[in-house]
Amino acid sequence: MSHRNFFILVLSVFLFKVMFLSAGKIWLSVDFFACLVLTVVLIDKNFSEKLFLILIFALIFETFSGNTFGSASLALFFSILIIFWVKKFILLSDKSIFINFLWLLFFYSLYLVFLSGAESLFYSYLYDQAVSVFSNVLKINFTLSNLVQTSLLFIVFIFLINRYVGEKKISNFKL
Amino acid sequence: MQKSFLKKILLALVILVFLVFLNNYATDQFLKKSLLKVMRPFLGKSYTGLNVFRVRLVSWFRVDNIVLENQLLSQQNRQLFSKTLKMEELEKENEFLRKELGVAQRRKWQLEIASIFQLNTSGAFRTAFVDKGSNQGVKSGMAVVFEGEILVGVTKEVLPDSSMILLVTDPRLTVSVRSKEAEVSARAVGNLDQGLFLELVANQENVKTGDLFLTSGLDGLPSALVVGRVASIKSDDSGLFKTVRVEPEFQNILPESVFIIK
Repeated sequence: MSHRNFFILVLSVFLFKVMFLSAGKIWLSVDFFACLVLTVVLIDKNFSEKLFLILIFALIFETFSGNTFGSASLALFFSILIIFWVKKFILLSDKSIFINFLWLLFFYSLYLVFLSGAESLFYSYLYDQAVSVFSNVLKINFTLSNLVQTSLLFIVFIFLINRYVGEKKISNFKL
Repeated sequence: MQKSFLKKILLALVILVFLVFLNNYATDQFLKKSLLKVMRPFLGKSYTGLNVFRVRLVSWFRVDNIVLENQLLSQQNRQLFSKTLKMEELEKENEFLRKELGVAQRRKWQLEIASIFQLNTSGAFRTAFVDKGSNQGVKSGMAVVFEGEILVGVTKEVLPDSSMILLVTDPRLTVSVRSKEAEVSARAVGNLDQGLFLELVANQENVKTGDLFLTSGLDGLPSALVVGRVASIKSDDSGLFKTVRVEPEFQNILPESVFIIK
């Protein structure tokens, strides 16, 4: 997937999340940016080239996501690290769409665990407040409606990214 | 090849940890402040513009309903007007009685009007950003309401010219509440799309669907702010507590401007 296509996808997600959902007051539990990044990292073989681009976008999304600064980005990068280890032993990008989809659900759950942990750590430290952030966030996010939303979003992203990843570069060289 | 991948990921993580440390602990949210400052005008304009567009679009499809609604509201307005006249007389009488009894008057709130420029409606948290911050006297932990004393949330992260509000449906926010009808006290925890759940409501306590819950004032927030109405109740015979779901009042009518109670 080219940097340009990735940038267009991220920009679309940003505008959809920050403008359309926000102004339309459409309430959803799924994290759009995390789903997009996890799908790209899992499916795209050249994801490492986009790592620093992901870092910049993660920090921009972080500012408007409502969590304490750093928790979502750290959770995302720890999930990417786990995906990297898993990909090292199992060639996931060559697997079927359904297998990739199941892996993505697993990685997203892992991301939520990391996010809850990081948020709980930062929140209690910054605000000195004994609120059970970890259990609250986890309990709420592992619901059926959230699973349905996440599944639908992953299906859309898998098809979109597969389409872009499969694109062939045509040389300008003429025989 | 894979070693260079790993190096890149680890390098990115190190940079991220450094930036988080710099922002959260060393520079008083410098990165977040700067990003918000750059994005605020654009987000504010788009939020207001899209809101106007949404209202127009909805009203275009609901002209019949709006005419009926208008008639109903005019009728209610006339009724309320006559009630207001009676209230004014009652207020005078009440003031006189208060003076007579020596009861302290209810604390007068100082309100700061603020415009929402970004609402976080997706993901694991529910927050809103408003255009008032510490420069305008806003502090962390202040209640945010709008007309009718309906609680929207509580200010959490206060920057010089903007603040982040935890909406009442945010899972990190707990509010001490009491019911208006049955005098039941509980702790309300945000539950994203499902509204709020009440904790510590014993099976014996009398809670009905439709009961109104208000802030109790025990946790430092002003008392008697409207939180929401009971939407569903589940009783477990073997358990000690009921599962009570509350539909927040603010969710369907969230406006562009809110009031921060100082």
